[in-house]
Amino acid sequence: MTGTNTDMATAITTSEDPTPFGWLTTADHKRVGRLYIVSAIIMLLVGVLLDVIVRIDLTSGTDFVVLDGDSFGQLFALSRETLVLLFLIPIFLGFSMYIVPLQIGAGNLAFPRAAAASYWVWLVSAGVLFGAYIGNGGPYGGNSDLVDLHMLAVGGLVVGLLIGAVVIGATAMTMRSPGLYMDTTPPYSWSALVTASMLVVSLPVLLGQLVILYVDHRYGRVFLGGNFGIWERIDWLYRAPQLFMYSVPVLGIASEVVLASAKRRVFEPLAMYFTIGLLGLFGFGAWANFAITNEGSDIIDGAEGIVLVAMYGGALLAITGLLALIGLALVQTLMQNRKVPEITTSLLASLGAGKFLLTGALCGFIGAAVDWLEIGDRGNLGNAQLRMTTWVTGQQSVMIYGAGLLGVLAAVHWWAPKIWGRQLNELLGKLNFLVIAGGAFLASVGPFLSGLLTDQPDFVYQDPSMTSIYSNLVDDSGAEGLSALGLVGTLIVLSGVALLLLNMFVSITLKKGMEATDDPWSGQSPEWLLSSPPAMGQLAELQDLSSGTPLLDIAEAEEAASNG
Amino acid sequence: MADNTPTLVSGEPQRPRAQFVATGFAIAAAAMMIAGALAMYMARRHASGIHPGSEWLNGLKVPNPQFDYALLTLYTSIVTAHWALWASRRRDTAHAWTAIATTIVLGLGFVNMVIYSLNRMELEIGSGEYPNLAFATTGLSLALVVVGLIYLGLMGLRSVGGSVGQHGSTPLGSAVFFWDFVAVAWTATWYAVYVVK
Amino acid sequence: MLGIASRYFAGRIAVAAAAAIILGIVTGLDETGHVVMFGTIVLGTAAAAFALLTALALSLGDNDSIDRERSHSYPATPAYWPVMSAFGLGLLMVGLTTDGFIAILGLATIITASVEWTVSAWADRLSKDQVANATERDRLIAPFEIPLYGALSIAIPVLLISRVFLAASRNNASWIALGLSSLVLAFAFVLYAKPEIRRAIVATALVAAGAGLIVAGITSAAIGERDFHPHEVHQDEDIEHENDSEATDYEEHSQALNPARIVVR
Repeated sequence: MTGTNTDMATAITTSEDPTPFGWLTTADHKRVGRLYIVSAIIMLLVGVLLDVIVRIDLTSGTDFVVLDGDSFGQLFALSRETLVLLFLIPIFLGFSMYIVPLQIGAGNLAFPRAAAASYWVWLVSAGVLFGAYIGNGGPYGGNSDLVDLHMLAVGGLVVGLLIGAVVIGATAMTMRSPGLYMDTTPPYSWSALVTASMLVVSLPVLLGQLVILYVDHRYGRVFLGGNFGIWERIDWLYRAPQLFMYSVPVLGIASEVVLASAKRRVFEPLAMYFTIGLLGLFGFGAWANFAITNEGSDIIDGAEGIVLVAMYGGALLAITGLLALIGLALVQTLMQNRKVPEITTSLLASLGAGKFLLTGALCGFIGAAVDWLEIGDRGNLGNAQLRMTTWVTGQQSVMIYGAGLLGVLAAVHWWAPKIWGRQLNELLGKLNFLVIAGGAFLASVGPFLSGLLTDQPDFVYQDPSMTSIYSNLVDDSGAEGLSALGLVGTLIVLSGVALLLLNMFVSITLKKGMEATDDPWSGQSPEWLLSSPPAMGQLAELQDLSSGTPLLDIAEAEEAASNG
Repeated sequence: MADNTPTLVSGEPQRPRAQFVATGFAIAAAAMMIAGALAMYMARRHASGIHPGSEWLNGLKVPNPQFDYALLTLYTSIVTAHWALWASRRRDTAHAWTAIATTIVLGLGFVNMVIYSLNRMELEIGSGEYPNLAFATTGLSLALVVVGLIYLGLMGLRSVGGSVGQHGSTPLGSAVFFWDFVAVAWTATWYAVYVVK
Repeated sequence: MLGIASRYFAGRIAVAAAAAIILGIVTGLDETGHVVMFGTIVLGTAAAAFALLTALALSLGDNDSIDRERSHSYPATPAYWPVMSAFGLGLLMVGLTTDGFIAILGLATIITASVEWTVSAWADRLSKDQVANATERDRLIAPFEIPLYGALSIAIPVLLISRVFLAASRNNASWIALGLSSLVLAFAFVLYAKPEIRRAIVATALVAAGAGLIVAGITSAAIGERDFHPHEVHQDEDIEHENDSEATDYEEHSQALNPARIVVR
């Protein structure tokens, strides 16, 4: 049951500056969370736009359309970096910073100023990153100093995100209300802890690589071969299976939304926590990828193949297991109540995100199995393995646009009442879901088919212009049509992002959205006990929690009392 | 009627842990960073030939005694760091601050010795693959040492400000924990780059 | 009893260690598997990192809440140190690829912010009275802050304005000086004439001016100084030239006073 700690009711509230300058000095996790969320959504717009430009050039296998040979590689790299380091990871970090303390009954994050530092370091590094590219830096850039600056900027981004991950991890482990065990934490908080600990163990590997790459590029370029050797060594961060790690919060959000919509507990809570955790684990297969040091064979075989197949298979099982668990709750509600739960944007987007995640794992499994078993002579006689083709691009699109973006849509609609005190327009939201889901589908199916049927290359590290002028590498000009399909899908995704921004602007900034009650969704987790939004600064009252579903406990107790 | 309910002795007050846990996470991150750098070093070393031999070093001679002394200095500083923590927990501030200062001096001495050793090697950055890799990995480890020294210094300041005693020594304890890791990280780097070579 | 976090982290040790061992064995057997060694070292270290996190999770147990209460009773006060650290890191990044002086400036900014941050964190825990805490903090650190930030608040604008003047041409520099001083005068007059003006507007104007000055200063520094043409003075002819110039000046002056006077040499 819940209670209010009356001693804490007289606790101090911090002196947050209500003026705009207060955003610079804030030590309030709610403000930092909002900063991250809004900034990441804006970066998403930039990232998708960049991806559109790259894909335009892929619609012709014989000529450059928009870019040229030099700038194609740069923009390709920037689009991936923006979509992952400036959108996918920070947005869920922002939601975690806002929601996790509320869900575990803490007044604030463990280190609120460190959380603020995380955001500002990330933002400054993003500025430096864009500055480096604008000055002809970045991988395949012409300005040597700015190529170095790009590496430093990526390092800065990683440092900022790591600081945030450490804060989330420490908060989830040390700041829970007495009586709230880890086994009973709300699923989103658990997924936040899993993601934070995985980020802490995987992202710093890139930092170690960047130090070596920076030194070698700056002093002599002894083994890098100019700056052409940089991207192939660091792009594991932006590909599957690493993308699974960033998508763990999607499962947390889906669990929250679906179970609340079904108004039920999950059938087996430990299984739910287990499957969420399992997905994060399989992001670790990134380092079985040959290209990290480019010192070995570019063919998957032997144990490397076994590891990849096992890893993707495990991810597939984990996602299937979780979706089955939460889906079971929906089915039980349907059978018991003889009516469908309220279909909200969050519910649609959660289920859609889960499906895309499943698709990503399935495609990864198929790709790894085909390559390992040399099905269709792939990997033999000069035939490209699927991992070298746009099959990988399809997988990225599924994970980022499908699972990631739909997960964000679900989270924004679900928690907008709590974060901004306004509900987003549901009609626009459902339209948004259709647009993004459709766009993500097309954006991924084009590259999937092109990679499978025509062997269109994903990226030619030693000569990026060959990625765009691929007519010498593929057998079938059908690749151009399939690339165009992918472009159309990405354009649709872009409109979906614009629609989301419009919905947020109209509902929140212009205050046209319905003013939210404390619990507009009949949620289960503790944050719905608080006002919408909670007051700025420290929480005046700390919730004493003994369960991750206090509202459900209250509802069940009332039902039992009225029946008995 | 008299109340015969036995009064239970209250348990030990809890020690604050957040900083310690955060330091643990930071150590995990730093360990992976060093691992990434050393793994790249080993992969490049392996790729240069199954038996790199002297071509890999290109005539460079590693001053083993100097590196050994540097390592011993670092290990000694671990002892003094733990001494500082032990004294701080017993509220023996004079010894705590003496030990912190000694640790910092030993740490600076370690940095000095490593830089001297690199100079003695006549390691010229940009002159080959091994020099570049050695510089990068050593520089990364030294950067960790410097961060550890700054952390110790700042937590030493907190200690001066009154964070002592069983429960108040968490900040200093976290810094000492990080310092222990720094020694492990340097040991791994030294072994990979200057012993295995 | 092991909580789920401990069990999860422990499970990850097993998986990471197993993967590291498998890859290590494969590396030893396969000559072309050089790259796999990367995976072996990294995964092996990951297993160790997971072991550390497991130990932390076990030591914490599942019911610790002292940090929650401490954080609530002694809340962190808002401060500029996070922004300052980020700014310092940005300077460090730019400085490492351009000018070492900028890198040192960045490092100094980060260290200053770290010290300030530490003192603030210490002060936050002194008592539950935030006003008293702030007073104690100021008592300790203000003797360092005031001279340092005071000097910087003079030195930095002077440095930036000097870059602007040095980059502009001689005449333009005069016009810029005139314009800037007029702006300052006008702003001061507005403040005098309208004392009720909102603080936020004044602060915004000052921030905008500061940002403009920073951008202008950095741009001017990047453009570089204008060309200066120093006079060449030869030693033997110094006095003669000086006399000549004096005479010339005198003559010019005389002519100016008596335009009708004609000088015949």
